[in-house]
Amino acid sequence: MDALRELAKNSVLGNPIRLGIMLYLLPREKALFRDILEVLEITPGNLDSHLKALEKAGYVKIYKVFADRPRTAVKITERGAEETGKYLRMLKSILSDAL
Amino acid sequence: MEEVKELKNILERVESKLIAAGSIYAAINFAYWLFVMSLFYVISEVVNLPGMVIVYWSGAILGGFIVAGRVFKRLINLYIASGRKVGSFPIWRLIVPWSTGVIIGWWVIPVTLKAAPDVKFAVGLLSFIAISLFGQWALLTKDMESIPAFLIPALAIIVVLTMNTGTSSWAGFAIATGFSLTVLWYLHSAFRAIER
Repeated sequence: MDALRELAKNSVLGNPIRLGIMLYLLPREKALFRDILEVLEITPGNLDSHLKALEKAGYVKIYKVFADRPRTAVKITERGAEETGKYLRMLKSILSDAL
Repeated sequence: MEEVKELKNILERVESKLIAAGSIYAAINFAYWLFVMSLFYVISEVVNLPGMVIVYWSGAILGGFIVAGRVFKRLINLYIASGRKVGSFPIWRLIVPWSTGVIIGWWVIPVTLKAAPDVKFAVGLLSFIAISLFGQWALLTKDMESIPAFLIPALAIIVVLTMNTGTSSWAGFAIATGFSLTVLWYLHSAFRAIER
């Protein structure tokens, strides 16, 4: 029950698209905006709003890089990695209890 | 109930892929040094320019820093996500062991050991690798897979002390054996995680 309560508290990662972004970023040094867009198959506006929510929570850092032309890049922060790991473990424990 | 099972299955697959990614990243560091050592033996027979050894190993160390830095950034996030404690300044967990390895392997041993110069060099090299990698293992990774990388060079010191000729080359091959075993073990772990 505690895990379920903790899980409900995390409104940032409760969204599947945001969780997907975090899982995509976790094993990578950085990712380009267009790459995330391609993987998740969502609109640029939608991705932008989710990235802003993740940045506001301190889970990702958005910055500019030069790759053939100026591009938006995203990288996961240590806090983001910690919270994603915690969230996954909580989710797994809840699912294990439910089975 | 089927949906719950499916979701749990997806989560386990995600977890496995993250474990596999961590193992592959960790193997890259050792694979880089295996390549650098092998290439040195190959080109030293073909190219024989003055100062080549210094230029080659300076370039290799610089390349090693770049590879380790890029691997380290990725590994730290995976370690943090898996719940390992790495602290607020994880780079010290690399700086401390490697500095200790340099001081003991390249300074204390050559100064204090009474042996032929080739034996001193071989013992120094093996100590440097064994101490540095053991420190890195104890302070940061704690992966079973990286144990051969420092254990084999540490055990090789005993053999080197009894040798009269070819100690440097033999020490190089002992290190390469340890590193190869570590790379194989990491890749084996990665495949096991994916197939789980």
